[in-house]
Amino acid sequence: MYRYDDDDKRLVRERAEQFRGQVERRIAGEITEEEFKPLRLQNGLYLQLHAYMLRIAIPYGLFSSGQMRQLAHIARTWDRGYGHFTTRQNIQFNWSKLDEVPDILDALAEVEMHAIQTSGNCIRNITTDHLGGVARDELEDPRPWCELTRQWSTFHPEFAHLPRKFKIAFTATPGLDRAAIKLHDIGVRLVQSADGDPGFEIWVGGGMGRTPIIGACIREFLPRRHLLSYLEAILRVYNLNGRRDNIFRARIKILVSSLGIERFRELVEEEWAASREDAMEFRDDEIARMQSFFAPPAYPAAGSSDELLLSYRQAEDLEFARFARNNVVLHKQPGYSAVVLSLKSFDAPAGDLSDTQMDSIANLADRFGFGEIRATHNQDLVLPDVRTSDLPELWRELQTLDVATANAGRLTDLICCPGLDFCNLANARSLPLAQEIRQRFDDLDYLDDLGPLSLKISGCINACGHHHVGNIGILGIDKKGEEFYQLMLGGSADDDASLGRVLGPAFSRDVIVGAVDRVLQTYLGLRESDDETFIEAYRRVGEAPFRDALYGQVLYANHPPA
Amino acid sequence: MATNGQPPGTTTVHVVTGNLTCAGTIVYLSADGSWQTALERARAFEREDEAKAELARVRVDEAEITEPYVFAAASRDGRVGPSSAREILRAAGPSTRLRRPD
Amino acid sequence: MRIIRQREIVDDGWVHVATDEALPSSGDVIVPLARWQSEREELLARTTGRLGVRLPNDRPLAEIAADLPRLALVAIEFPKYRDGRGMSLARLLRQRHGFRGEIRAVGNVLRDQMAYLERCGFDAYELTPGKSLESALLAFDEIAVTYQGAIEPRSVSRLRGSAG
Repeated sequence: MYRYDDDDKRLVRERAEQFRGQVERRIAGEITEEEFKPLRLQNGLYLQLHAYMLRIAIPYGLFSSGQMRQLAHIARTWDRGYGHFTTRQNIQFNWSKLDEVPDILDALAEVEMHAIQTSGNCIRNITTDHLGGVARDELEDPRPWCELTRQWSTFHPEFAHLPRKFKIAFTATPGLDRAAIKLHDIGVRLVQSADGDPGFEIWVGGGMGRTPIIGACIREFLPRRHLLSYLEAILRVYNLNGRRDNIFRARIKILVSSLGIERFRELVEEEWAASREDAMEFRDDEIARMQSFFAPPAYPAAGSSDELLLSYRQAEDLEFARFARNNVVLHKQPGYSAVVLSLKSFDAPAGDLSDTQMDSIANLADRFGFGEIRATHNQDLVLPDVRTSDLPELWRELQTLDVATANAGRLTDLICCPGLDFCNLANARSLPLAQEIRQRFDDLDYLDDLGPLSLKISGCINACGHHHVGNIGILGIDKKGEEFYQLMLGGSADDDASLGRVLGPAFSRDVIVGAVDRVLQTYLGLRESDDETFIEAYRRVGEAPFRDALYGQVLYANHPPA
Repeated sequence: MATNGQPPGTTTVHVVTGNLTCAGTIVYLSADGSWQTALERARAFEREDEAKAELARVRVDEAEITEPYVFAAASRDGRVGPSSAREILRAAGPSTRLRRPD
Repeated sequence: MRIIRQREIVDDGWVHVATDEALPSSGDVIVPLARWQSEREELLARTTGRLGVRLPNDRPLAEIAADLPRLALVAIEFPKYRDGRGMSLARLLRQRHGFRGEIRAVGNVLRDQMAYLERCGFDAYELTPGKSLESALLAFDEIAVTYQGAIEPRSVSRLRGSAG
């Protein structure tokens, strides 16, 4: 992984010191909250429902065992002994005190971490495929490009005060997308030209929130040395032309959709033609230098085929076999596997880990790998370099930590925002709902029978829980102070991205889980074979059978399909 | 978390709240002008405009309070309680079990 | 008026002249863009004093680009300090248009955006009234490491690696 040099270390130390001064000026009353708020946000510090929340970047989801131990230390020392992993490969602490945050930033700087630009109207944490570098199906490791983009975007002076937040994601696998790039302000896919030259396909204007939009391809091929100049051209067009009069119309997706992708592309290409000479261009040796940080570890020989993993998947111990099927991914290196640690066990908030779990997972990363851990956009963790022959032993260790639930990619491996339990913006709770769903659907045989299925829950229209792109999406709303939940179906964040549709009126808290159950029953009743996934079946039959099941014929007669 | 169908004798009152700038803790403006962590000790303004006037003063005068606002609460037998999902959770804390109970 | 220019607190000799104010016969003046456009010939006919234009941040630079050789100063307005359009405008003024005069930030200008502004090409700052200029001066050096060349595009050693 990337290691900080002296300049990188100095930058994060200076940032902590700078924030210490800003906090002192705020507490002394020298600056108002209105002036201070953008400063604390650009350091990832929100005022949430109960307290300050600090969001720390895990750049492109990659961190080390040492960094994990420091996160455990922070949880113990300055918070309430736990942290929450988010969909954007960040971790959040919910109980920060303003005057202690500079100390936390110092502690992060010690281990080459920071909270820079994890909030505010700037370029946020760069995200990517959590299997980057180990995925057998990838064209190339996306992480060197993520790190280059992280450095370029860090304190970029021109783009420190954009109209709205800005999210960039990378993927490197043809025809597959584990980073949801089409739902980002900019999505970058590593590709090859017809001649075999490496470069990028650039997507722009995707996003969720209250106006979900699937991005458009702005450039099919960009030679790789031009990545940053092209990103600068897009950002500059946005910075100068994005709306600033209405926070709900300020994202780049609104600019792109109001101009149309053709006109937006013209503006960007015009800007790029005029500015690319002034902007940064990579030389091959610079690219190679960055790639060297992400070179594969020296894997000791560990067998040469996938047969061992395939045999584990048929093992006599049915629970281990299930774990090997659902939570273990084939690795680029023969004899190795990538292992998903589920942060969706049955009795804890989705995405949460205690300090002791963090410490133990750090130890496992050292023992069963090379000290690396990944945070996924699905709010799970991955140990990326496990010798396949170590899987039985690792599995037993993970069970004692309550992170071995074999539900990766299943219904209960859901995405869930913090909701009204913690969030200042939320309209309804999402964590207890997620918990109830996991408790109700705790039969793993049943989950396997349902097959690949994504359930995503947001506690408000800002869509941090990605409800628009869940095969099943749930959106919490407020009706006169009471929590209600809209159900939507048909979303997907994959390469064939689609937005879910609301089928009818919202459900109250006590019946929403039953409504989910009815959707599942309907799917099982109409699928053509055991292999037809939920999303395939939904796309084949459309919403009518599901709406009938949920709302009945009477309602259906009053509200005929559009 | 039902909030409709309030029992008879319940009236709507208005409360000024915010967070302590330094600690982040939720506090409510009390009758003696101090800031209290318990909602029951909050001053119950009968008229919203009175509460809003107090809010305006707090915004200008009290740097130790961050992001103050006014919300509608329920008063019964002189006791103030929350009447929305949001304020119930603010007053009582998260309804989820924490990984490590404190 | 005291302002910050090139990282020093100075007494500023420039005078802002509003659209409806009488133009002083001598001295350096900064006029709103609209006045520059409507009284361009009169302003150019002044025999003493330099000229500056105050540019709202939602107007394209094309409106003054041809006149830049005649201007010694461009003031860019910040209606709110978190409105970052002026940052792109300054960078374009320096890089695309080669403007070498003073670029001054006016309006809601606060200490904590100045380091960014300087790297975009600003060299003078009229702070929001009531804010300490002495405190603001300290902001330039808070973070010495930069990853981007910004207006010095070819000195991007950080992203160029040790070979750069």
